[in-house]
Amino acid sequence: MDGTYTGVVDRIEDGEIAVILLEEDGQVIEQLDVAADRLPEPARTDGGVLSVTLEDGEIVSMEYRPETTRDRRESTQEKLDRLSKRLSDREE
Amino acid sequence: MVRLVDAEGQVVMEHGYGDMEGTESDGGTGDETADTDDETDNETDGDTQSTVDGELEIHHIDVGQGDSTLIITPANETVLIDSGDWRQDGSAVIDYLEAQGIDRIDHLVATHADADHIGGHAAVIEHFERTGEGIGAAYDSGVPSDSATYNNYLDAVDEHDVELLLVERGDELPIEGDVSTQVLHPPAETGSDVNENSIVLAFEFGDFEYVTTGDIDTDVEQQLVEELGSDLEGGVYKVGHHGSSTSSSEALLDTMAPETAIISSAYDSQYGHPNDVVLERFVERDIETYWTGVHGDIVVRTDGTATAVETEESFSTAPEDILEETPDADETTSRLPPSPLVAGDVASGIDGAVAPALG
Repeated sequence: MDGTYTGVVDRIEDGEIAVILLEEDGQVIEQLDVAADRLPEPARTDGGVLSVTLEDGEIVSMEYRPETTRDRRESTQEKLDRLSKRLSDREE
Repeated sequence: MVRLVDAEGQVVMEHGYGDMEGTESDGGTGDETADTDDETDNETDGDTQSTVDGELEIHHIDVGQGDSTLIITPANETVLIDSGDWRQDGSAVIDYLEAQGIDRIDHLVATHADADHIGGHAAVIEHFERTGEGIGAAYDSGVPSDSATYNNYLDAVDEHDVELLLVERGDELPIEGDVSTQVLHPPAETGSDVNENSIVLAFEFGDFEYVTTGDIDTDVEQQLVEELGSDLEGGVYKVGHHGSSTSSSEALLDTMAPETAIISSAYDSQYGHPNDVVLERFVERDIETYWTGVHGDIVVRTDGTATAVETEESFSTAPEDILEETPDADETTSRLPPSPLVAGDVASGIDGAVAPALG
């Protein structure tokens, strides 16, 4: 697996292992588990979107993408707000 | 009472259950329940039977390193809490539900947005909307994830017009009949942390109580202990965060006082789940322990008075035996991927799941 992919920090397990989901065309295609202290800041504490470059399946670089992270968070929040309502506000 | 049954349906252990409240009414002959007074309220007279009708089933589906729990109520409503890891794309869950003859999910819960909990949400919604009777409503903590997995789930909600409801403490899921489902967490005002704002649910059916805590950590557990106290009591505890050391604090266990704990994680969890520290806490408290890693699918059935657990595979439910069976800590730590990591190695933690072929 080679090339540069969009990677999202899905979660950090037990404070130690960062789970990064690589995407292609809006679908997750692979998962990388890396030591959390390898993540670039601020992804180490706040997750977000990265550019992950692989050579022969090995990570050679991870770069934090602040604008993509911000845009994605805004659009996801807007979608969630548009689609959802509070259970307590539901009319029976 | 609890009756433990192995894969062949053979009863392997029986003991009193719910007798704390004097409601034990099955006679309990032959078990070890101490009964020094024949005149106690253990006599069966019908009045001590719980007043609920029918049977509640809780199926902990073995999805490897992830969570998915199916609840079937006496009124035949279905609740699916989480849908496994993204790599399975819902297949293990859909197969299990189909085998149960289920064509509709009345209540689809995402405890939180991590890809090992909502990994099958989009596929489950699409499957039941297209080929079955659909999804009644979906419930979410309201804390989104940046992942495509989460985005695809929202897109499936959108495409199929699924009612999406955000829940908060104090809500009760609108489940028919005698099953009460209280939302204990998150609060109305959540922060941005996905795990900390996991949906915590407490189910009650007659004398039976079941608590499931998503991936909340010990700080949130402490908060719940302080704010809810005895409302957290539960006979059956769906163990938080796959048995991670970040969860199942002594404070939580002492307040909840579970008799039975159920852990969902892969046998060779790449994150060392369940953690030895947690299992040791179960040993100290003599909590009978089930783990999908060794028991496979784990089904709890109750009529509100008596409770039975059936497992796909036979294995001891003594927490010390589970502790013995988990890979030791050194072995687990050595699984931490070296730097740099080789992509593809990480897929081995999921039972039967194969990472998608890469073009």
